[in-house]
Amino acid sequence: MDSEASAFQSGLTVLPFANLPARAPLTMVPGEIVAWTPARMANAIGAWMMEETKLPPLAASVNAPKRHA
Amino acid sequence: MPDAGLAFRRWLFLFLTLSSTAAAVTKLGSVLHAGGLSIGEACFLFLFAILFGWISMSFWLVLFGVVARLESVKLLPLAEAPCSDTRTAVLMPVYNEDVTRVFSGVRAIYDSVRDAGEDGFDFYILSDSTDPANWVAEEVAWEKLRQALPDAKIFYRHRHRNVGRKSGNIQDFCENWGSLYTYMVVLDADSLMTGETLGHVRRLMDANPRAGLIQVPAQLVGRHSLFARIQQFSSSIYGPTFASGLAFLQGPDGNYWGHNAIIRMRAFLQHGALPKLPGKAPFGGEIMSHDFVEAAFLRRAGWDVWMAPDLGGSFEEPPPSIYDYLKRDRRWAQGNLQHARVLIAQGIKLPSRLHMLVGLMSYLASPLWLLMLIVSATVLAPYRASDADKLAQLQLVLATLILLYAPKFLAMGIFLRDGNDVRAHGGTGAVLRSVLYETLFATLFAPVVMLAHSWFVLSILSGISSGWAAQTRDDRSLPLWFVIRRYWPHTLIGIGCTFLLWRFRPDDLYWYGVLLGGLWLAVPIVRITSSFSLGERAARRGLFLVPSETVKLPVLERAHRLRTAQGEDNRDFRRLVLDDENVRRLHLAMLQESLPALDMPWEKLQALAEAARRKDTGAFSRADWIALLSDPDSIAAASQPRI
Repeated sequence: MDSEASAFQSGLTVLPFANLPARAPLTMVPGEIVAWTPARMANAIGAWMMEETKLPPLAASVNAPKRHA
Repeated sequence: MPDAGLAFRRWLFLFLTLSSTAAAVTKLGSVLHAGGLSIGEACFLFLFAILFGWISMSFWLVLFGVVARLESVKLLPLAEAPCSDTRTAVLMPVYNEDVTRVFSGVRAIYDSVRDAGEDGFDFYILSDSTDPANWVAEEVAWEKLRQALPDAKIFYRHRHRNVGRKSGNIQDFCENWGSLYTYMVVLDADSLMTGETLGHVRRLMDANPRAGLIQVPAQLVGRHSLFARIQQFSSSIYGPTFASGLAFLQGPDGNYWGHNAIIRMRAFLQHGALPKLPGKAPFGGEIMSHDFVEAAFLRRAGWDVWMAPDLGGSFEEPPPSIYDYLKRDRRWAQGNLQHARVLIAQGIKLPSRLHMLVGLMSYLASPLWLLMLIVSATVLAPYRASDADKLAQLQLVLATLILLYAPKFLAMGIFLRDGNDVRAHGGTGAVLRSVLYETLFATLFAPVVMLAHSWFVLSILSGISSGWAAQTRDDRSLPLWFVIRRYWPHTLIGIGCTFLLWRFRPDDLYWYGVLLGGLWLAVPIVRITSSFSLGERAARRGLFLVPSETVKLPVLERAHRLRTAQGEDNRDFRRLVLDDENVRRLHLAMLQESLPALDMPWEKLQALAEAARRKDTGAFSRADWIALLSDPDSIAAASQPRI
């Protein structure tokens, strides 16, 4: 039988106590799970198209001076 | 972006899966369409398309694994640091587990790490045990371990409320001690890893700062019942080729299987916490199968998630019986179905969505299969097939059989190339015989699983949640009456279907023969395969042998020897706190580290302490014991000698 197995069977003598290291607390922020909705999907597709075509944002382009004015 | 080779493999995989499915569906469509497609036939065709796609996917996956292994592809294309002593926490989360098993495992891993000359590993036993006897037994076992290894950094923490279950347990560690470490290795209560493998994965992480997680697939080992030994054998023969195929296709878009993986702490601290899903269980609330979602979050944040199929040195135990296997599956089914809500969430990468879809389909395939059988037997009108139709039917049946069985034989073919491996499994003859018996068993087992999974899915969709019970991790032969009570519905359904087919579709009965046979034999199959002695007898005849049974694997040997040496300790550990001064001192010292918040009225606690002092604890509930053992004043009062 292993010595460590017999130690307990012959009785436990608690050694001076030192268990867990000191805590270094921080808070984990849960990740988001946001489901798609038609509106969100449209927004995402719109944003992707803007990115792909490199068009300026709509609001900025409406009042922008004409390029060759 | 995946590299060009990986992208090509993925497109090829998609093409092969879709084209083989399309070919089969077209063929079936031409047979069914001969007299015009009815609604029933359209339903059948639709279900056939999904299920054929499902089995062809696993067929092509294995074929990719075969190619990877034939070509000796480096499946984990990462550099490795020459040496490392980066601080790493090895976490063993436990929940009302066999205490001896847990501490033997931790000790065996610790010894293996020390023997491998690896420094910088600290060990944490993170207990969520709600059984007060387990709680105290764990404290005593930890103290014993501490005395045996005074210089080892092996820590014990008991959480008084198991908020968030296993993922909450890990999160609690991360929030309190995570910042002390660069990596953590998450284990399960029955899993083991060697020091060499732990050193390997740490050096891989050191050299690859983009790697957020490396999963080391675990070999199934250590069980002796017939069912467990069949599982161990099949995972040992077929598993490496499946895992190779998966690794070959997923690259850095891998998955996390909940344990036997190393995780970069910074990545996990920032992106590993899970939200609660809105609504109630089974689809809302805490995320049950947390691992897939954690991997998806890491990938979403740009961290690489790898699988290391060739490292070895990673082990876990299979469930001992079909009953225990299906009990675990009930929980997994709920977790995987819950993923349906994450699968469609914004920002998740496509491969992560596919991992979740595959998990979902693992359980949805059964009710779909059942539905297809019902449709084929009831809705499809019996018709007199022409010779050409008969040929097409035969081709479809053959194609289905090839997709179902070829992966096993392909994987076996690859396996047989390695002489050492074959010898470690008992030799070529033993392997061939074992594969034959395993295939027979798998064929009869499939209908049992189909009915069970269909019931799980139905009950989950009806809003019935499974709890979170501790898993059975001990070999046990199931009593016959116990099996009959649980599996008579399978047999009854088998008999009922046979009668209906014989009465109304006698010509088609033989098509369903194997399926019905599995249901008829459900009770004997479950009972016989749970047998410990049959498992041993099979081993003596060289059947289902795995290397852990034929070659000495030190970490497994050590864990087994330690566990056997400890023997059973049937003392009431709850009472030991009150009756044994040393255990009481230990327990009180550990309570001081994290005093639980008590929610029991003081008067009731006093009454409990008084009853405990009189040794009148027969009527104590688990909550009573937990409350009593959580309050130092009550423990002191209950420990006073009787006057």
